[in-house]
Amino acid sequence: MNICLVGNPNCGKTTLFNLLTGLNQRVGNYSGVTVDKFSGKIAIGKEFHQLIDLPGTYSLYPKSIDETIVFNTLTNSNSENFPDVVVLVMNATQMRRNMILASQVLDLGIPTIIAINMIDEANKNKVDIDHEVLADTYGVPVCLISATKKVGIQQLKEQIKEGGKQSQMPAMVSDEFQSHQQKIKEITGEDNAYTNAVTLTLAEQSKKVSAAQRIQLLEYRKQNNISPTKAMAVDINNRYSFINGLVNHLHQHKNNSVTTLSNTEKIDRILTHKWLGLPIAMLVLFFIFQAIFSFASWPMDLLDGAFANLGAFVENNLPESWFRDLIVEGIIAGLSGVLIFIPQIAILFGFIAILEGTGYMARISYMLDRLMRSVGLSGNSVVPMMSGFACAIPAVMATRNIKNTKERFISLMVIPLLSCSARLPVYILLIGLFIPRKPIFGFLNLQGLTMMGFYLFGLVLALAIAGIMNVIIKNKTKQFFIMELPRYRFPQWRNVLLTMYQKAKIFTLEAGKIILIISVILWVLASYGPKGKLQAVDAKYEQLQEQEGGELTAEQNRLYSQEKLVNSYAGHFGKAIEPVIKPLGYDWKIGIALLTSFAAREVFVGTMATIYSVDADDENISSLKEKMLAETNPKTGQKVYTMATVASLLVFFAIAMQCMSTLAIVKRETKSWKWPVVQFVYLTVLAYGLSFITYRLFL
Amino acid sequence: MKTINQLHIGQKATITGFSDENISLVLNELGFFLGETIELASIAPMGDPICIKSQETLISIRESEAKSIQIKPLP
Repeated sequence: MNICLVGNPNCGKTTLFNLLTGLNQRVGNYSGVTVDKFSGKIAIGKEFHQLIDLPGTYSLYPKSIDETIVFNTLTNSNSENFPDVVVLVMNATQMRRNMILASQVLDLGIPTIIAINMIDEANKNKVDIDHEVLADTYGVPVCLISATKKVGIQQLKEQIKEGGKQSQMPAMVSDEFQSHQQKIKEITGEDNAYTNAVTLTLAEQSKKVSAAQRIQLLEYRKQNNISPTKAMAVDINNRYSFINGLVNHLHQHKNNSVTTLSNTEKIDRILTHKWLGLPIAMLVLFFIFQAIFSFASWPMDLLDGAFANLGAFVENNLPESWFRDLIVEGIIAGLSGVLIFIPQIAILFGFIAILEGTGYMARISYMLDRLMRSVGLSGNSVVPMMSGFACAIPAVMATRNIKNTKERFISLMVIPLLSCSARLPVYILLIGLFIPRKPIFGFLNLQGLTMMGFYLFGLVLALAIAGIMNVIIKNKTKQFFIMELPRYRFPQWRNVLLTMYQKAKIFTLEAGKIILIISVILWVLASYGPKGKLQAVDAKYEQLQEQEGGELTAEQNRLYSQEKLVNSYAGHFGKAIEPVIKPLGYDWKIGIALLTSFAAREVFVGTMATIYSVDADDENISSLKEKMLAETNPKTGQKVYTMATVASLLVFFAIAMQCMSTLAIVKRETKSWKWPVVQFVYLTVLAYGLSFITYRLFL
Repeated sequence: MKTINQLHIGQKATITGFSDENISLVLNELGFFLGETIELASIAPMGDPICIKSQETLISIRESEAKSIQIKPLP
């Protein structure tokens, strides 16, 4: 049996889903769209059934891609997700509004069970619900439940076992559509009058009909001057008139002065206060940022250390061979590169789940909307964009919470421009080459100020590009920023932990594969080379080793690594692209580092250390800086690292998409290779252009 | 004709009309209908959007969108 949970946003649907499925849930795909499908197995009696948590929606008429899924699942009996039973989850504190969607879904004639959730909260606010009234009106089973308090869940399961009932009330179809009924039925072959009405209204989006049927429906709509917008308005308003009467009977202690909003309003008086609201929001955002930027480094270092130990263990216990190198330097290093992101992802999504669960997320969007609007974004992009300053990967994943498709897309495209923590080591090395630690105004120093300048540069560029994309990309449907500010609630820890687990799992399984493959490729490029060359290097150092009596000195080992890298495919790549990067002031050695740092930007520093054969673990990287500053071009005799070259490199790293993991997650989030490729190309072209200009300016 | 953004905080009014049929549909689905009593609950710290309240629901709406909701202030 296939069971679908349907309901408004903030009705506690997901809490119920998590309660019923626990860890037996998986995140899949609705075919052809970028919407995550949450489904799970539930045991009722001796049988297992599939439970799908459909996206929350205020009505059957979709305003976003998520909501289109609800429409096309419930109105298309050929859909693979079409439910045998619908569990309509309603919020007991908002019955009047929840009844709009409920009455629409009941009219579709699918066997249904109504679960009135949050009954404890309604009771606390002195609202009693007479569920018999609903059960009598529609002839379907009605349960009063509280998913957070685990009340009424057993009765609900028993009703699911019974299979629900179809609504006994005739479907509400407007007079206008009543007269078209026969004709629509001839086209669609559907018996249910309301299904036919909404299929005609939304013929463009309907997956129920074939292309030929759609043309017939659109033609019919045109001939009869049927306006979809008007039809939807009439439908919703008819329902509301009916619901108003019904809800008055439903609420036993009907009292207009009783509102379930009073506590929420009291809290809002402080949290969205004219003067206090923004400082509080900043404090909350700063704390979250701090958590992903620095608290996450503790588990990350732990993971890093564990993988280093594992690598060393394998290295010591396997005989020397290409296979051992593949395991240690390719696969173990690659896996470490994937799993290292989990702390940041889990922490960010833990906070997001808490913000969503308490209702504060909507307030952040509400208060900061004004700030983002000038570039065509809304308050919903605040948290993803802020997260981008720590790491683009969780930030790109967080764009899923942006409902507006165009806005989500723009945020996702510009997030890699925000200076993430992987740029920090690169900035520190490069800024340290020429900028002195001169104090300014007593408490700032010139290096820090330059660094801040680059953070700002990334932000300004991101906003500018967002603004440009906002003008270029045209929206098919008009989008509004009208959003519910839900009631404040305590966060559900089960929901928080499940979100953290799901997001870490999605990243590891779906983006991890791509990251692992690319890191193995990068490893091959840096460890193997054209025939003969590397063997010659190996032979040279083996001979040296014999002369030294078995052990190479640290210095010799570093030279060995350097010669290997220079003669590898990566080394040849660097030489091959030298003519291309020369206008930016770079030599082939920088070319090698540009390739290897595609794994992650901070690898740039390690590669530089290998190329200049200095100790990479040197705390203050001063010996690397000295070697870089001493480097001269053998042909011209001029210094390689001039102010112009370094400025150009800094600009390049501020912009370029030097991160395979971001590419992998953008692929996952857009479900296509098209967008990560577009993003890579536009960022590389932009980086090249601006670095070139910078180089010229400083020359 | 007064629109909803002209209310002061805490002031109640009745919705008398919508001048944008797309916005009106979104609002209807959120439970904001013609004839309903609403209240301007708060204004965001930067002056926009505003928060309006019906019997059951608080929503955030930008000033530009709020201008399409016509109202009659209640005494």
